[in-house]
Amino acid sequence: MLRYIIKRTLETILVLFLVVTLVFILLRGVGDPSKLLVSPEGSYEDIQNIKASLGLDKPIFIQYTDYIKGIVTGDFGNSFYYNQPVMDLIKEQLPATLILALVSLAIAVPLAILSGIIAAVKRNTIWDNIVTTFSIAGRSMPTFWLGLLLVLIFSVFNQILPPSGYGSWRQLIMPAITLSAGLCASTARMTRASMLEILRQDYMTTARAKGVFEKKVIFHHGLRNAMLSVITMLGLQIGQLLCGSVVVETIFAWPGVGRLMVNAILSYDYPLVQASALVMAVIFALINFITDMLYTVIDPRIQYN
Amino acid sequence: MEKILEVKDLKVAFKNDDKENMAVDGVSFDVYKGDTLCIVGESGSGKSVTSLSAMQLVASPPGRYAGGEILFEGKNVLKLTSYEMGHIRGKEIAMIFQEPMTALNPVHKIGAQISEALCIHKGMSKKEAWKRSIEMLKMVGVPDAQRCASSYPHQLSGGMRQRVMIAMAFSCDPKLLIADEPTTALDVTIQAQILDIIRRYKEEHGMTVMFITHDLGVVAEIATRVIVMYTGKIVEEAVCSELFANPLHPYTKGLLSCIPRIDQRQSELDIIKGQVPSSENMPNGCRFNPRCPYCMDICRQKAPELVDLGNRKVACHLVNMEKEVGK
Repeated sequence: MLRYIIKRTLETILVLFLVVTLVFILLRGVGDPSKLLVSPEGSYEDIQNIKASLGLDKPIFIQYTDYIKGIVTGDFGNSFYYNQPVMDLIKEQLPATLILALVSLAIAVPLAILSGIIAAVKRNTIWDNIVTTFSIAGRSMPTFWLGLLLVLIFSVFNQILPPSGYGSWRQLIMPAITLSAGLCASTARMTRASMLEILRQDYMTTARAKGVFEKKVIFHHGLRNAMLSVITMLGLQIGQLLCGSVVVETIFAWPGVGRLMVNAILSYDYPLVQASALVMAVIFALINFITDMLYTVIDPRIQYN
Repeated sequence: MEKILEVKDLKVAFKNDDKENMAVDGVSFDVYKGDTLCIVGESGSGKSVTSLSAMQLVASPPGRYAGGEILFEGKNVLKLTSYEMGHIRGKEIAMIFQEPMTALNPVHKIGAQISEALCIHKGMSKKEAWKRSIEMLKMVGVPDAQRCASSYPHQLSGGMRQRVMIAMAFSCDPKLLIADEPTTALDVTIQAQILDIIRRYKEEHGMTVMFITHDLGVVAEIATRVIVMYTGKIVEEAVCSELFANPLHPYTKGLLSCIPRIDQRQSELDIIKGQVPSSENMPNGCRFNPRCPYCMDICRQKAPELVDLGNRKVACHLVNMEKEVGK
């Protein structure tokens, strides 16, 4: 087990290194921040001065090695735009992103699993149809569209909820619903499919033949087996949830890492984009690792050696 | 003799693409206390569905109880609510299934799976039930029962898993055991051991056994009475020794002649020609007529009734005619 964890950690470091490199190269192809930072009347010398102060006048390979050296020593550089250490900026914004993600998960996962089970157990009934309709709708609505629609309904037509901002729980409702819709829909579909498969298994009949009541048969004997594929998908979806938060945070002016990243991209703020991409990648890798560990907890047949 | 289970004109239908097929079509028989009743038949003869019905375990949908009743100690189990059924399943009637590989839940420990019934029916605490589970495992001949209780199904062999299934079934002292091909998936040596465990327990506890199989060797070994089923109907019912000595129905005769014998040299094995008809093209009259070597005109027109011949029952026009002539 320890060997597996060490192996996984090394693999993850390699992946993160690749992410950092790729982001570094791609960013250099997008545009030149010094032209944005100079005043409209600035001369060619001004631009050169800014380049020199940001270290952008050096050859790209030197910039890259400097950057990697910085990361290894824990220095992720200063934001071009805010002129502060980027990690401080991210640390400031990360809680908002995490709160949004966790609340969305807390809404989506229990709702999805429960409705998936109901749809499977009451297959081909009105309940199944309701769940299927909602999950197709949830899956097919783009996040930005659903977000704007909610704003239109609950803030513009009816002044029930604030359209944007951060602070009170009322401001959390719409972003969380928007972010969880897709996740909830696909998890419900997956739970339904997985549960239908499990309901046919022999051990379910064995459990019934023992005199176990139907609810316990489904939750105690069925659900844990069905969770395996659901967890796999959730692991992948949570990654998408973070990506989705980039859109949602922008729509609802939610001061999270996603919005910080979008603004950083728009202002060619290299260090900030690189660092936030790295943070996202670390979270992604961590979730994948947790997913893999959860397999061993759920299914004793899965062991990592 | 006292009846423990009475099956009366049982009909079970399965829905398949908007069409309903009768998997069990008017089956009636009694199971007497202390008996070992074997139900024999090919795949698709309805023997498993019949046995599952006795515990109301036919999946619905697609299955549906289309008629008849099953009386367990006088109560019609098909009319019981799932709550009432919960008190019969596992406690009064227990079941062992064909596939030990898939019949145990892969994510729960063996001990916990056996304990479950004990907690439900005997009101034991988890700890007591675990202890009792280990005793049960010892009883069915599991070596190192303690370790077995804390292992997961995938860590055990097929034979061990079937022993676990048996331990589970016996844990609450059931009055009736339904064993649905419990030895089919096992090696011959393990088969014999499993049969021995069932037989021993039955003698010690006065349990009644309903044994579903297609293996006539197993039937000869353990049965007191035998029912032969074909396409959802009973074709012959007799005491075991009589059935083997003097089979009446051509299907039974065919089944028996299919068994290769060690004392006779045969270049070719006997077979029953043809195949079990599918539910879409069920023949008129006797359902066995397309495969029957003695088929007569009446067999193609009229389905034979199951006729009581005193100590045995048979559903065959030929047998009836011979009987008439004999009189």
